[in-house]
Amino acid sequence: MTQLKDHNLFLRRTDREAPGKHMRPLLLLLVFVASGLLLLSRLDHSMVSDVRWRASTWLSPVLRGALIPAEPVREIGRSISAQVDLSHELERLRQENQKLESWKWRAQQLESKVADLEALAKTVPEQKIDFLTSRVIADSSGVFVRSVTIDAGRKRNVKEGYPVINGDGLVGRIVDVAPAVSRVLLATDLNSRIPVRIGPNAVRGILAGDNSARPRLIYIPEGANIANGDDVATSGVGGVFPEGLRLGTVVGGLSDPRVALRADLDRLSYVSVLFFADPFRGVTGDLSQRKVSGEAHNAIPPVYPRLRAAP
Amino acid sequence: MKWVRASLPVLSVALLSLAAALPWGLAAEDRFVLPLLPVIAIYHWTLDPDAWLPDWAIFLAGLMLDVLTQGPLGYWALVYLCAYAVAMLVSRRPAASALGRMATLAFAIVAVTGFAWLLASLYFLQLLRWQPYAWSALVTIILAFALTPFLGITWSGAKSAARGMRLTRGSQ
Repeated sequence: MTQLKDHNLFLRRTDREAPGKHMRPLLLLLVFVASGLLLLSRLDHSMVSDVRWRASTWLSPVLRGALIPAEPVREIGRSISAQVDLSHELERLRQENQKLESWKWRAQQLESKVADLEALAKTVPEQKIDFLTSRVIADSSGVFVRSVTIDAGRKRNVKEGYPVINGDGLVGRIVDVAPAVSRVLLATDLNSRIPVRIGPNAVRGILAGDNSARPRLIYIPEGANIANGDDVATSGVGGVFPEGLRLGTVVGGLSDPRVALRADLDRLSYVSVLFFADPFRGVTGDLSQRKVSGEAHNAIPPVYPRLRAAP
Repeated sequence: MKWVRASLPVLSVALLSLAAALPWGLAAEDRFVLPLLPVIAIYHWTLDPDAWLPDWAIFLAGLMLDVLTQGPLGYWALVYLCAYAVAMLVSRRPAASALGRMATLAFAIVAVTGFAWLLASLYFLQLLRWQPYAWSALVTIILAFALTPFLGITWSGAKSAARGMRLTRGSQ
């Protein structure tokens, strides 16, 4: 009996018509489903983005777990790249330190002057912004989107729209919040638009991401005086970002001005979320109500039109 | 051990897909190499007649990567299913020599990367830059020559462990 079974088995294994695996109808069905999902994503169906974010939230504990064995590998990579850049970095820091030493003395003088003037003018003190530092647990930077997931969410009072920075400057802003995780849209993303001021003349413009490493500067006024190397910082217009967050410097010529960001968005490990609420939210609503009721007729129109995602 | 052996192909594809979403500190343009690593595993296991890697598991791995990278749903699922289809076509006429196997593996990676570029271009309705894709395909081919033997060694180890258990059972 055993011999017969073995014999049958032998016959079954060798009497194949052709070697290799064969395509099943299920494969065609799966291709059809994947194509349908891709089409829905292209149409930007709200259900797709909602399902994607929910699923991503459920998978966040898996990502956190996967980071534990991955952390030593990341650390080795970081130390290798640090060793490679060490000599250049040392020289750069030495030169920067010399400059900063002269600026330090000047800054101290100016600081005391400003304090005296503020006391004289009875200036309202600047609002201090709370922040929270969080770990990056997933990097979604690819051909379609430039974003990272951080392990702080609604439970830690993180809200949509909050700016995100690291030691070098602005990184992006929160666009999705779940109880334990949040998604940060990076400044380089196709859908990122940041109101900025450029250079010593404080020229206004918009920093527009295009999924490249260096985002573009758009809506710069005609004849604006900007040059390569000018500092770019947030202007605070629109109330999404506080004024004065560093972004980078102008590069690439005046025909297509771009910004070399100070923050290395490819190597984000920890970022800080600024608890910055839009200071104009209440004011704008109040103005519109007044206009309707006829109390005020000089309501200011918005400075920038509502922005759309670039094609 | 039999269970580990049976699930090794699915596990390896799932783990490589998960690793593609982790922040490794790579530049955004170089990150495209990471989602191509499961392609190597899919190709390798599909060519092995004893390995169990169903098409639905490949679809789910791609979908998981789409979710984790916040990209359009179905993109990586389609690319991985394309890798599966290419591997199935190759498995009908397997190369006899080692050089032939290496050449077909390189061809499969180039074909799948080309498909990924075409799909992304169709998604944006404009021809995207092909250079990052070509560079990623080249790096993936180099990595494939290291990953494929590793997968083979792991598979042989799991196989021999499973065989040992079957002998023990037979002797009882």
